[in-house]
Amino acid sequence: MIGTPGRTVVRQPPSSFLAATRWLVAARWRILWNTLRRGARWRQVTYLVVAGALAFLALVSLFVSYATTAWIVRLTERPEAADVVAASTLAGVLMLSFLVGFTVALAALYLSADLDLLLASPVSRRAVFFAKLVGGLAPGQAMILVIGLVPLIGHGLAQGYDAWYYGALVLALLVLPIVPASVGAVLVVWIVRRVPAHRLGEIVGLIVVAMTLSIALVAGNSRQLQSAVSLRELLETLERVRSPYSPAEWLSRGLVAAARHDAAGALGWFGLAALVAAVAIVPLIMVSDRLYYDGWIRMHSANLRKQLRGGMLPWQRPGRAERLARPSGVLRWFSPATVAIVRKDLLLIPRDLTNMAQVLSPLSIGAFFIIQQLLYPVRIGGSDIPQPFLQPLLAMLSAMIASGIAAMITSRFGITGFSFEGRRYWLLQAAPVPRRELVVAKFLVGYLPFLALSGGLVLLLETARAFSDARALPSGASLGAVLTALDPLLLGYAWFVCAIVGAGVMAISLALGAARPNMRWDSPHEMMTPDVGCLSLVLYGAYTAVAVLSLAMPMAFSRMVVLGDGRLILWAAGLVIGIGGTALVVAASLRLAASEAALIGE
Amino acid sequence: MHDDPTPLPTNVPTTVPASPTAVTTSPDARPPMIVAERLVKHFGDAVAVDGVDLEVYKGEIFGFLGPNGAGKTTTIRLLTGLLTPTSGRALVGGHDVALAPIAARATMAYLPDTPYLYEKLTGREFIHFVAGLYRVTPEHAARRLDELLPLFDLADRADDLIEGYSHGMRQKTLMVAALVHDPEVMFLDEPTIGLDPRSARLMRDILRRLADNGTTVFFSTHILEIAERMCDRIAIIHRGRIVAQGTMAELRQIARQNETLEDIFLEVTGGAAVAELAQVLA
Repeated sequence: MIGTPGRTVVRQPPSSFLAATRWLVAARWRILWNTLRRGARWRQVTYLVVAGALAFLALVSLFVSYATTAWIVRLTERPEAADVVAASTLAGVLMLSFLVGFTVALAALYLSADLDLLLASPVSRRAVFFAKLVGGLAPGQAMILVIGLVPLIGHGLAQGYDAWYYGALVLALLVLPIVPASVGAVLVVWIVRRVPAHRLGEIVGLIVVAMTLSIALVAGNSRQLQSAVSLRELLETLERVRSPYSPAEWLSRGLVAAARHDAAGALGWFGLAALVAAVAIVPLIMVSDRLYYDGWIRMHSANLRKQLRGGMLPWQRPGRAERLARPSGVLRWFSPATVAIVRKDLLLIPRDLTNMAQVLSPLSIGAFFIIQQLLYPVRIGGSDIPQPFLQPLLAMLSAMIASGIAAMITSRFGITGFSFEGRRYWLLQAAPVPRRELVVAKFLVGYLPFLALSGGLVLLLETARAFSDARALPSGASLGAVLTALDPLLLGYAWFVCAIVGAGVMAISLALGAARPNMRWDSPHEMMTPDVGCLSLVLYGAYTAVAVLSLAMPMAFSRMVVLGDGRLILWAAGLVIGIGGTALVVAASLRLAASEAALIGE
Repeated sequence: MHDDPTPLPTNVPTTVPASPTAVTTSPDARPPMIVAERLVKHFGDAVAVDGVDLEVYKGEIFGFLGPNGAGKTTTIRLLTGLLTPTSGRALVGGHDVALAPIAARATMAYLPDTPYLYEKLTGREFIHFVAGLYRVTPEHAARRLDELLPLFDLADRADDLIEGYSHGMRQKTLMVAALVHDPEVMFLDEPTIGLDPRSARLMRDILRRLADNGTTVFFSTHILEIAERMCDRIAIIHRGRIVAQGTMAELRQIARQNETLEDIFLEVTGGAAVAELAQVLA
């Protein structure tokens, strides 16, 4: 009966471009709808919470935009001066659309799991390209448009604009994303012809995180800049950066023209923007058939090109592979299986740039604190000169900052220690590796980098402090003065505190990760379930509060409080509670991790 | 029943380890290396494996057949200790997989049907990693790699990241990793899927040579022709139960003198109706 003429068993996909696109987009939305409706309860709750948070932010942005517009009008006594708010908002939307457009186009066009199926099916490749682009971009762009729409409504309310403005606003926000989406798609199609799509995705992720952090870092350290710039100067600057060649600017002028019932102006500016959008998207669709398929084919032949580069890449040296399971250095005290697992993980983590993207944000916090130490040294009573009695306290603060940052980075390796194995966990399960060795290996994968990282950060923070202290002296910040201001005992003790606290945090992370593994992950972001994230914060907080207080407090106030014999008791109690408590936490957590690891995959 | 093996380097199976504690022996006094005693596995209300009894002897190639979802992979995962049985027990190399898992695993190698490997390791790094897990010294592992990589046609690509490997290359990489520690028992889940004819032939020849040198080979397959030509004994599992077990001659007796393994398979798994349907559709 299958294939009998005149009977349609499966609905055939439509053959025309538009009908095929509609068919594919509808399938995409069906998948999204099923994901939302039939997903796990916690996921649905998470979506609701995120939607609530977005709604709250939208309300805040409405209020801020309304207040800003009203303030500018009052300050300048020129309502048209406040239109810079609309121009800036549309420019921001355009910039966000560019960023999202590129990354989403890359993921949708080349990294989807269903591409093989779609490109092999009798559906127009042009329709696949367009449907993938629209389906991929739509959710992100919709969110960006809402982010833009709400403040622009606030602006319209403050300016007292009528329905013309709001109608034109919807039109402007519909036209605006077309150009960045097209440019993003063209760039992606062009770059993927040269760089493998997966590698490009990792690089883009890294760049986006680095850019975001750089902006945050500059903003965080610009106290003086902020105080120096007046609102009037800010308005002048914003006016100057309004580019007459930007589609966002054309749309903002069209918007203002519509608000003032200038039909010719509105049509002119909107027409120009629509023309550019059409010029961007239509040729792209026309040539997408060939370009897209060509890029996809090249992506699949990337392995051949890699083969041709044989021997040139760092991991292509046979001697390195042999070292993988050879005990050496600190690892000589552990079994070959432990060594192999540790070395394997420490090789894999940096090779996947998505892991490195997660390292950047905590490291930027470290950079922020180091800059703070250099620019704004901590003094009591507004003193300009160094205060030696503060040194132990500041060293312990450095220890807390260093262990906090190192824990932010390496606790992820602990929590995701088992999830990181993913579908390859069978290898460890089937190997003759006792669970305690496996757990110790996973502990070391997080703990060894923690030791190195926290030690390095303590040294950098204390050197920054010593530099600030030396600079305040009449002799200036010579190398000798900086070295003199560094106290090796304090440095050593600060690292010791980090080492103890790190052991506890890492063990807790590992136990949580073993108890709630996510073995079906595709990216590091998906490895940690939300409940583990929340629980880890509570447990880390409780443990580090006790450990840090007991270990750091006796040293922190050692030069400030005269306790006599009480000082010894304080030290003894602190060390016993700190070290003993950590030993208990580590032993119990690793034991729990070992028992939970046995259940993974059942 | 077997193909003539392709001439292989004599050092492929380098050792035939001393036999562990024997439970029982086959009629020709070979000790059983794999024993399943009333193995049961439930997943919630579903019964995946329902009282499987098996004995596979030293140097035997044992084929494990069954329709999709019959319980083949679950049985292999129970025998390798990747799953804990709901009841019953499994012994590999004389060691109880649940009570002495490390000793049992040290004797075996396992090749799953889907070769999930570490994408960002090179083939050589991956094999050294597995060698480390099995406590093989780096020197010994390097020597074995020099022998095995050319044999599996992997020498040129051994220092590329695995993310660039085809399915067949991954399967062969796993095979090399499995052979690095000279296992006494090998479990293979659909080992020839995704292999080109040359590699599939090589795999069959190597398994035969390993078995001739005393390694016990337990593999599942859908390709009945391979099972018929390679296996010393065959078991057919259907809905979690072993419905037929024995040599080809014994199976022919069970299945009313049907000649081919395909006929026997369809007979004992109730597939005759499927065959009739296929005829109608043809």
